[in-house]
This record gives sequence, structure tokens and C-alpha cells, in this order.
Amino acid sequence: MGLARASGAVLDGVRGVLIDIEVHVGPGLPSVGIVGLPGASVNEARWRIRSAIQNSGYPWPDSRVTVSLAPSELPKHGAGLDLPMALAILASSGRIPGHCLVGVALIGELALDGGVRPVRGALALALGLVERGCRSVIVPHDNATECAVVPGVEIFAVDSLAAALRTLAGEGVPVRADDVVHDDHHSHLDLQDVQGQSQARWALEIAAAGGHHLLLLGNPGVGKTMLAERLPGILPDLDDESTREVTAIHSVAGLTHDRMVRRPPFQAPHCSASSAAVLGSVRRSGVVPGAVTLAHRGVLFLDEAPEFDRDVLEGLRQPMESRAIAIHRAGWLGSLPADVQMVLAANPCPCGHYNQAVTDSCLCRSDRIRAYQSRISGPVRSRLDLGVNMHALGAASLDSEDTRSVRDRVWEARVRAAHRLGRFGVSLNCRVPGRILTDELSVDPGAQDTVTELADLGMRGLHRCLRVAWSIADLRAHERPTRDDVREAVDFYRAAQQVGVP
Amino acid sequence: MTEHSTRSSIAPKDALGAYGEGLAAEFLRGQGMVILHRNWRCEVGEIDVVARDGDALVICEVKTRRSVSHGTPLEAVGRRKLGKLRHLALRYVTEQRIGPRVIRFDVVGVIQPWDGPPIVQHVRNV
Repeated sequence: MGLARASGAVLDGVRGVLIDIEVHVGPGLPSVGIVGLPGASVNEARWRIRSAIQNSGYPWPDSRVTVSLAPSELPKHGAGLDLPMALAILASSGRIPGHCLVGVALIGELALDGGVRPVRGALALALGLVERGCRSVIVPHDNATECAVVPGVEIFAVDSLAAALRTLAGEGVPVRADDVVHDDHHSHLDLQDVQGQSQARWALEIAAAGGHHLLLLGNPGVGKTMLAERLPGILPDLDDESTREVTAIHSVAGLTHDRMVRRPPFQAPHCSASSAAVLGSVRRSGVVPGAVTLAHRGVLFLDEAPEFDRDVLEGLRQPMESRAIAIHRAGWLGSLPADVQMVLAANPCPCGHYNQAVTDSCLCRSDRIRAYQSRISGPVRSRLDLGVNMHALGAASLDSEDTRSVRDRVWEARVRAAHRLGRFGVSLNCRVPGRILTDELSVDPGAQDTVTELADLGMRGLHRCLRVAWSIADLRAHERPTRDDVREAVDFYRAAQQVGVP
Repeated sequence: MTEHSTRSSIAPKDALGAYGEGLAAEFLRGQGMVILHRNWRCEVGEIDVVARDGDALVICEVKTRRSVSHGTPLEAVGRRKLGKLRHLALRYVTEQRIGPRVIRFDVVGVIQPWDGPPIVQHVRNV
């Protein structure tokens, strides 16, 4: 009979939150009470824990068991609290010494036979525990590799309740970080497969160098989708911190549980996707990240952008600007990371044939063309940095550069940008605050007149043009944007803004 | 045991129950309580033991088991049984014309293995 404590963690959005578990085994008829907003799966833990404890050779206390989960106002979902709850019950009923649960946190779902099952989002949970000062974490064996990359913490892997008890007794060996499997597999999609389209390829390269949003316009079959799918290929690998962030999100979504995501993710939701699927939603079982969060630090591609629901497109305005998506629902208030580079592809008209270079067979009325193009609204367009009109090719096949050489050039441009921008605390051109663009970074004296002519674009447009101009300069190894660099950036920007029949 | 049941009309499980209730009553008396009734019946059901502990009226349920292989005796007293006990207690105080006083509900669990001495567990104020 007594009191015991253990530490566990639950997910709040895509973050792990430390949970203090207190167990009191006291007088009363045998029963288990769990307080502190347990969700359905946490409430069911009583049955799993009881069987797991009995099947591990320990008796179940024949008295009243009260489990308190703090902070009590946070709703708790998932079965990851099974393991710490079971050990706290053993400690409070005197089966194991309570002091061995001090300074260690546990994550794991229990099977009835006493085995420990993997949980969703283990990496996010472990990161949350470390943030709160935990220095040693016991995790399910199947989650060990993803958790091993967390810096400053010892990770112990267990496959059963008995193994967890041995580890607590000091017999465990921490998992080593060099056992981690990195998923740095490059896509088999190569830029070489895209014939011609030099202007669009150049826009793709600029977008990759500076992290700019891109709009691809063109008739069906012209290669918009092919090109967009090859953008992640020319982006550099994620750095260590981004790798942890992205892998934690993917782990929460159940996309990975044993390897680290090294390559920028690519998400291409279908145009019938709901706003919940793209922007994220809240269910009774917790927060479900949307495609925009799964594409964090990578590319979100909207093929047939005008066909998307209006609230999806408009909802993406916020992440395009602030790199996070706010979710305000009855069950949850907060924001999920959504630092994405957007690529939108669109046909020029409902039938798709308008503005075709070879034979103009479009039958759409001009007002319908305008209406179709306006479905990508002005506020969304004004956040797009680059627009390209792609045209069908003749029969002549053209030599195209491969992904590797473009990626090398993008890398060099990014190094140049990072070197210049380091003192402002950013590394990509798309992140440079407007004030620094106008006051601290000056374009080439020859380009100054061109910049002053851009008053009609408005402040946001001007800043976006300048950011793109810097990316073009970085790719061309110019010290600062020249007149041609700025003009080209402005042309790309205006192409993204243009709506309707010229 | 079989021999016993052929001679008497009492089923073995009822005999065990009666034996357990006897043990429980002894135990409660040992705790300083005064036994008022055993097996008090009305049309709603039966109270195993009614006792007085100081000023409090104690309504006591007794559960007896041979082993814990199908759960402990204490576990067998669920929410529904406790609800019924409350109901019975109300009937008891009405019929016995007992004035307002503290009513306490206790449970006594008796484990009587086939071989060896009985184990008595007493939970107060459930």
C-alpha cells in the first residue's frame, strides 16, 4: 500500500508533453480509477495493465488503485502511458522499489502477455521529454531507432514489462545513435526526363535555391506535374534539426517508425481533398496533421490548383506566409508546423487548350477563362513568387540537364545566400524580412532604377521580387542582383499574378 | 463434501457461504462490534450481517471463496451489489424503526482453502 510516481508522455498536436503519473494503492474494494482526462484508449489501459502485470508473474493489488495523470486539464490519448502506469502500480503496491522510477521516463503500450508494443509518435514523445529535462527514456524496442537520434538523452529499448524492470534495475544498455537508419534514398525521378521547357526548369531551379513558391501554368500534358515532382530531387538534404522535426511529424502520422527522413518530403494531395485533409483536423483521438504539415520542410504540390475547394486554397495563405498552420477547433487550439514550399499547377482554362502555341482549339468563352483562373484568388497569387507559362514542344528532342548537376548548383547558391544572410539569422532568400531587403541589402547600382519603377506591385510584391532577384543572383554567382536579374524576377512575379485573356 | 450434501438439503456452496458468514460475524465481534442480525431478510433480498460499531450501524456483505483462481472475494462485490445493499439498508432502518444515525457499509472477504486456515479480509466503509 502506498504512493508511487512515474513519468510518461502523450502527444499534444505533433509535440510530446511530459505526463506525471501518480498511483495510490489504498484501502477499499478492488477497483481502478484513472483521473486526469483519460481518452478511451487510456481508460482501456486498466485491462491491458492488469493482464500484463499478472502474466509477468506479479499479483494484482487486491485493493483500490487510483491513477492520476497530470497536468490534469490536458486530454490524453493513446496507449503510450501503459508502461509507466504499470510500473507505478507495481511500485506503489511494494513489488518494486519506488526510487528506481526517479529520473527516468517510459513510453510503451502493453500487450496482455506483458510484451511492449510500439507507439505512434515515439520520436515526438521522446523530444518532448528531453525538452523537460529527462535524461533517460525507456522506449518500445520497435521505436528504438527513431528515438536514438535525440541528443542529450540515453534511450533504452525494451520488448516486455520484465525487460523494463531489468532496465530499471540497471541492467540495460542504451541504444547507440549510429544504429540509426537514415532514409536518404533519392527519388528515381530525374530532371533529365523532362524534355525542353528551359524557362520552367530555370524557374524550378530558382525556386529551389531560394525556397520560393511556384505557379506552373500550361496546357494538359505539357509537363507541369513531371516538373513539380522533380523539385524535391534538386533540394539539398535536411539538416539534423529538420530531420528530427520532420521525422517526429511523420512518426506522429504513422508514416515511419524506424528510419529518419533525410530528404525533403513531398506531398501532393488530390484536388478533391478536404480542408481537414490538407490543413489538419481534430478528432476525438487527437490532432491529425494535414498534408501541409506532413510536407513540413519540403514541398506541397497542388496539381490542378483551381479545382481545389476555395477554403483549402485560402487556408493555405497562412502557412505560405507564417510557416505554421493554426488549428482552432472545439477540441484543440494551437498551431502545427507547416514550413512548406508551394508548387501550384493549373490549366489556363476549363478545357485546357487555351493559349496553345501550335493550334488554338480552345472553345471556352473569355469570361469563363477569367473565372477559372480567378479561382486562384488575388491574395493567394500575391504570395506566389514565380509564375511560368509552359508551352508544348515541337517534335525536336532537346538535351536536358540531369538532377544531380542542378542540385549542385542549387547547393552552391544556398551556401552563398546563407553566408550573406547569416548575420540576420536566416539562411534562405525567401525568409529575409522586408526591412532588411530594402535597408541592408542593396541591389546593383545599375538595377536601382528598375526597382524604383516597381511601385505598382505594392510592398509585398516588391519584396517578393527582390527575394527572387537575390536567388537569381546567387545562382549566377553575381555579387548582387543586376538589372537583368531584377527584371527577370519581376517577369516571373507578374506571370504568377496575371489573370484572364490578355 | 458430497457425503455431507446427500444427508442435508443444503448445497455445498450455500454451506460454504454460511460457514463464511459465521467466521465473519466472529471476526466483527472480535473488532468490538455488536451483531444485531444475521441473514436479515425482506422481499428485496438479504443482509448477511447487521452490526453496531459504536454509534454507527454497519451493513456488512460477506463473500467466501475456496480459492482466488476466479478472482478474489472482495472483487466479487461490484457496483451493482453495493447499490442493492444501499436499498436493503433503507428497508432495514424503516422496518426496524431506527432513528437517524450513521450507516456504514463494510465488506468481509473470506478465503477458505481446501487445506489450511481461512483468511479473513475486512474493508470498512466501501
